[in-house]
Amino acid sequence: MMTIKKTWMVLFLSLLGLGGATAAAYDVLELSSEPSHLASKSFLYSINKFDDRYFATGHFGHIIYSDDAGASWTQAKVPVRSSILDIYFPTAEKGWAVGHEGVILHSADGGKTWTKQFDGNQYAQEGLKQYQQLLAENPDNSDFQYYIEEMEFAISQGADKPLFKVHFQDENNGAAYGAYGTLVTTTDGGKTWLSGMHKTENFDFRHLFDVAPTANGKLIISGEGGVIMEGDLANGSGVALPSPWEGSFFTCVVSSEGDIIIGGLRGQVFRSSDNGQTWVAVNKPQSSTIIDSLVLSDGRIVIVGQAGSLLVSDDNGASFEPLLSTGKAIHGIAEGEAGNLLTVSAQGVQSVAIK
Amino acid sequence: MAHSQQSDLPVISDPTEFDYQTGSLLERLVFNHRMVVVILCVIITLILGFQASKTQLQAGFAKTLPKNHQYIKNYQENRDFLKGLGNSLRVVVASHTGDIYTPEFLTLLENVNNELLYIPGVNRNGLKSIWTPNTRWKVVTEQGFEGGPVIPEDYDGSPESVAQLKQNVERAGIVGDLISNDGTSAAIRVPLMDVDPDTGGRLDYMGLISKLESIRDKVSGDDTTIGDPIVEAAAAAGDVSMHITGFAKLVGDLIDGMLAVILFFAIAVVIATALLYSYIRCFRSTLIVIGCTLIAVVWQLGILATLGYELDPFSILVPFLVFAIGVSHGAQKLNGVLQDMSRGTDKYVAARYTFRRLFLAGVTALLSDGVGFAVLMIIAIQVIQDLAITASIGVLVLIFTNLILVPVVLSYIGVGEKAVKHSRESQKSMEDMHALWRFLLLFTHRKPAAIAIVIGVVLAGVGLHVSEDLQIGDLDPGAPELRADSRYNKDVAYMTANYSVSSDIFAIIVKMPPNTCNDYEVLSLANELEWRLRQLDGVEDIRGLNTYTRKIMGGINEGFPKWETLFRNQGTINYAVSELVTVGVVDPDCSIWPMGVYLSDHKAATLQGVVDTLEAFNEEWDGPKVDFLGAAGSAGFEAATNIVVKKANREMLFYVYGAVILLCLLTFRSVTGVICAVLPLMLTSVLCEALMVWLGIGVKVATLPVIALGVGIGVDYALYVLTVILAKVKEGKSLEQAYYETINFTGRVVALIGVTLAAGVITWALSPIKFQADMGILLTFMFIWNMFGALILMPALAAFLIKQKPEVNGAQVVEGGS
Repeated sequence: MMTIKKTWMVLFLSLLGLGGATAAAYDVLELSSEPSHLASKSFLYSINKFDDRYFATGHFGHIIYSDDAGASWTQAKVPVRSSILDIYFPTAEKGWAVGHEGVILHSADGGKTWTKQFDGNQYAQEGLKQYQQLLAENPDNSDFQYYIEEMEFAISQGADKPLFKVHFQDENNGAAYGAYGTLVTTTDGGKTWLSGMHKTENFDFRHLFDVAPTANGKLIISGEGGVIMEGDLANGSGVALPSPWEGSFFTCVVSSEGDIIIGGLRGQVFRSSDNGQTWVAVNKPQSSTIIDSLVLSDGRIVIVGQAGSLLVSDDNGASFEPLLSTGKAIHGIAEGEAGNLLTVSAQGVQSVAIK
Repeated sequence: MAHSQQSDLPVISDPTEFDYQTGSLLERLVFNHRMVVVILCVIITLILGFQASKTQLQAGFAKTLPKNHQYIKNYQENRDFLKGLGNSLRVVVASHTGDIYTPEFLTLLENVNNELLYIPGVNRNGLKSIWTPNTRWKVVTEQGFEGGPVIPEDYDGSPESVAQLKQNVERAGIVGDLISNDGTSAAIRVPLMDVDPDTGGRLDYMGLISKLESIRDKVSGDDTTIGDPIVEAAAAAGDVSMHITGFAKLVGDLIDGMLAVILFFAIAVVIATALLYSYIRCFRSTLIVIGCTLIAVVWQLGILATLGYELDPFSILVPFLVFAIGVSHGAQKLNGVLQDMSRGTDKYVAARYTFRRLFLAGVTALLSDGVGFAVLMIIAIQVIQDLAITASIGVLVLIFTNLILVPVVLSYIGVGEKAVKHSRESQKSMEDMHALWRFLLLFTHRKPAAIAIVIGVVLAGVGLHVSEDLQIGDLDPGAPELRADSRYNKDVAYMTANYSVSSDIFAIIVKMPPNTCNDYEVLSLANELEWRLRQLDGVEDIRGLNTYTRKIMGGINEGFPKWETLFRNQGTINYAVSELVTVGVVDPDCSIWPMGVYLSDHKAATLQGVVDTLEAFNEEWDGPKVDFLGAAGSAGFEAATNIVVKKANREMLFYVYGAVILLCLLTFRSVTGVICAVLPLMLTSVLCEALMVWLGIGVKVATLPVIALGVGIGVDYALYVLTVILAKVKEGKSLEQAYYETINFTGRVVALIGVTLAAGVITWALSPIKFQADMGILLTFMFIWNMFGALILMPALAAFLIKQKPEVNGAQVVEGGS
């Protein structure tokens, strides 16, 4: 009698998680972000401005926002502790954030609170089903077998693929871009996410680092190992463009005149004035790897060398001059509201004055 | 200490009239064979003096650690893996005229680097600077990595190769570590070996330090030996300086400080001699007391050397205490002989009477000092236990030298005629006494006594209030052992200001089963702990396997910052960890690594914050995969020490007062006597804590002995004074009369003892070793204040508490109360 009672007790306790012997595993996908007074002063990956609100994203699930041009920051409520890499708000209220572990977060209140819509585990599981179904529907297309194997491999690897970039045309249609060619799209505001990998000409599964809308209504996608693609916003496909170099392009930007500027490893920067058909090496001083770019409100273009040098162009990216150097690594920039730039780095948000 | 009265022994001016068979067995044994005693003492002094000459100085840090604390046990169990944290030096060569990128400066740095390489005890493979091949740069290219040694392989001092070096330095990411943040100085990391592989012996700190200092002299231009490569390179490089920090250098400076302390001993001897002479007015008997006390010090050192003890910065202070206590007891003996002689007794008989009267009392008083020392044994920190043992040995030795040898020698030599005359004349009636003594007598009356007690209570209240701010641990920046303005701490301040490294490291020992240090969850937990610690004020940086892994994971992905995090790709983690094994961030078994928490200071609150955060984290995330153990590193040891010291401080007060109360109870056999004796001591203890707050001295290893010694030695006064008062009151005398007679008999010696004890320790205040200075100031305060307590507060309390018999001629009839 006693034994049975005891057994039940142990079972009951272990169901409650009070057993003690089995501690819960530490998983950043299962742990919500904790408030920290250091959130705006520690590792941040990106900074962006949407509708007068600035957003910066960082490690430990940090999403911070500022309504006073970066003077003060508020930490959003985020359900994961993953590193958050990018954010996009097609409307003032609705926005998406992406990051490591393939996480996709959604906010419907202008970025104050976030819910998880998708992660790297779902990506692999659901991607496998998606391609199994596509193969069943198209038994002749051997490509789908290839993607099935890729998704099976992804399952074995776990949620190891970061999503570097997110972009939405409107509050329903958007896509997230990431490592090993990951591309997931949604047409219902993120309720469902589908792999778009099979629609891109990225057969080596190169990382996709950055996107920017182009003058001809498409999307420029830049990635690892010289990958440049033209994305079709309507059907989510990606067509490979000729590449001027075999190194990685971490950032791309489109000038107010429609010129495409791409920058990357070892300070290489190229410019195209024909929507990516031909590329010209840009005349610029030597710099470290280019990792972010920005069109200022006055039309000047600023590109960021990883080691902290900022270069500026006032001829739509045909040539760049040194703007200033912070002497310390920078991860991303946004334009401030008082002739300044906001930079993010391992030390958080900083403001630097520009001419 | 004079338990008996002076009038009970007959005045015998001719020694032949003396009955040699009177007195205790011990007295007969000693005084009927006094030549044997003297010869024995000479022989023992010669033997132990020879032994004492072999005394070694030692300033290792293992002995200052609380060995029973879990943190220290963790460190000791894992110390083989944590070598880098233990013993290494940082040598910085700085240019004051520009940056380091001139061929002249680089040549100087190369010469210093090479000279360091060949100092015995230096771990040559681990030596690291821009001139060693293990310092490499690495950049990401479209083909992968590119890298090489920071010094270009074809370096020739040309502007091109210097420019190349400068670029390599930037790419190597060593600014803040091997190059100062502003580029005007370069560091050389010099790991040391605890055991010299050539000799198999322990690291010779003094040899190492003198070699380092000779290099410093060459660099700074103090040594201008012609033809020496460093001297010439330094001259060419312009205005340059060298800075050295690290445990071995600290030990060297401590040993230097200990040598300085030996000089202070000489000063203390001179002061004590002067004080004693001004009291006794007889040079030869003064010399006898001082000489016998010095013999005690020689014996003590000889016994310690024979037992294999080395002198450390704590135990080197014991001879001071032994000397001070010895002189005070010698003064008592001298006083006794003097008083007997002034009544006409022969010197031999006087010495024997003094022995008869004072031997047991002296033993009791010395034992009470011993109690103060013995209580220190409860603190499981070896330096304090060693202090307790060495001091106890010293006190035991004093029984032979100052309670036996001093009277024996005095029986031969006596006290000079002038001194005897002076003593006879200084016996004054109550009215003729010096104003100071008359002032003291006031406190036997209730009204002045009440005022004294009220002042005491107010002082106690203020003291208690102030001492609420008493801090635990060390409060000043730099190495707490040394003064803030010492050369070493200036060098530490220079390093802290110019490099991104702090010397206050709390190293958390991260331990897991072999080959699991690359486990994603283990590293995630390390990240979580790191992040929690970073929330604390005072945490400047944290470095360890997890932080370096994140950097490498970003680095091998073309250095793109968005990759710089711990992502769950096992292949990438494995690559990063394998790279870090080669540079020693984690052990080759992939089972243990230190998480270095760099703190801005070592204040107790900062350390406690780290300890609390670590423990809360372990509570929440306790699991089978990994243990986050405290602690190594200077701050880790200090955190453990603080915890132990805080606890020991309370315990010790409890035990020392327990012992003193028991001792008083046995001596006085009266509760009121105990209250009269102990309350003034307690006031002193409270005021001492307030003084510590005032002077910015925290409770630390060095201050623990102070309270115990202060109380243990302080109770002597009560024993000296109160016993006599109580005895006289018992005879039916008024308190005033009793106190008057006491002052005449022992009171003035009490004053002498107070000043002599203070003189013994006040010289410590000049010590270059900070904690010795702190101890000196606090002990001086306690000795002096206890003296006032015994002379003012104790009679004042007695005026209210002690039952006096109604007296015919008494000025006052006081009802008994208690």
